[in-house]
Amino acid sequence: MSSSTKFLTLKTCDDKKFVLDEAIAVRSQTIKNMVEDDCVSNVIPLPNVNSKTMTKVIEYWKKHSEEGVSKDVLMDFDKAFVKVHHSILHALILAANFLNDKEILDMMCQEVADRIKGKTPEEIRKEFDIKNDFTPEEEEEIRKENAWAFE
Amino acid sequence: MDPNQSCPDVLSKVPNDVIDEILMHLPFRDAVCTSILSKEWRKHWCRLPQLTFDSDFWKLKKDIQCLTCDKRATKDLTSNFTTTIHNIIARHSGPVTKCTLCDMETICLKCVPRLAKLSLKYYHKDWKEFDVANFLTTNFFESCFDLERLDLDYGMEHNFKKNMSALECLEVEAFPDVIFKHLREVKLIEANVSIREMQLMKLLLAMSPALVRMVISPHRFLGKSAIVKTLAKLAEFECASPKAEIFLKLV
Repeated sequence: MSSSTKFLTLKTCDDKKFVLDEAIAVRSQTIKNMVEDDCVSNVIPLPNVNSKTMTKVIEYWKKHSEEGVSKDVLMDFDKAFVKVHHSILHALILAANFLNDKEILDMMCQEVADRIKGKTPEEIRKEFDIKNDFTPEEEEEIRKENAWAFE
Repeated sequence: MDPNQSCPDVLSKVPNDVIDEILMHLPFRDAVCTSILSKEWRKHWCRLPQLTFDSDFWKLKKDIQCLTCDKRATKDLTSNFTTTIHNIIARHSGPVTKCTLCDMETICLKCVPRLAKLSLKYYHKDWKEFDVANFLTTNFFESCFDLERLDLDYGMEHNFKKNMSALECLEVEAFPDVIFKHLREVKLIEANVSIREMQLMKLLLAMSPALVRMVISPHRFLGKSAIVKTLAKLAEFECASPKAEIFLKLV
């Protein structure tokens, strides 16, 4: 890979195409591996990522690749970036995991953790649409098992 | 992936290693609390490879202080703590590779043969007597066969001039069967190189045939001559590992 600016075309699962500077796209370890192994033809298919999510990811990549952006600006950007509905948060986690972008994945995991922290089980279930499939007896049993944690 | 059509539990499709990642961003108590969410969540925390028992693990700061001032309370808490740890270890499904304990006076970790990394931190500034030798009991040494790294950090507030109470059992001779087969690295931070700390170093050097590095950062109030003396003493200790290097950092 010695040419100057190269562009890659990424195709999401809903058939949208994104043309992106290779230097930016290789923030994804998955794409980087493909480029390094020379198995990139014209279009890189991303079967696990939809266009809406990819738009968000690319927005992040571009912002973090810009030159001369101050740390404060980036921090504000990141703060705003994670404040999304949990369905988008979830899609971003899956995308970051598939693209193998540790930076985004770590940020997203932190955000999910922050949304869990200090909440009651009922609040957490509501936040993430988790269905309580325990009977009251089972629930009581789990509370007893780890009583120290629920005190 | 239309959010309206997706599975009701948005996190259920997230791979386990990512769930682990999320749980590791949580205090251990909150991570364990997720077991009540649903059947699927019940076992997630049991996989966590790293356990952190910090002050958060205790209900109240008051509890920790009780450990030192009231003997009976200490006993209750210790047995409570032991039961809790036992419960955790019993439910835990995989190997624990890293275990961090903060703000505690004595520890006895039994039945954690696969523990590979242990960090002990001590931050509390009010405790009258704290000593690593007390901290690591005979039982503790017996149980960690696979330990690879041991980090001891006294923190900045350690009252280093305090004369520590006696503990006889930290003579090398008292541990005839203890061998840290896998221990590769030991870090002692803010060490005050008291007699008993020197005994601990002696013990670790004599019993760790795989040791590669022992890093000692002396306490910042320690004079140069004391450090030089320490170095001379360390050089005399028997060393079970031919590869072991000792680094004594001058601050």
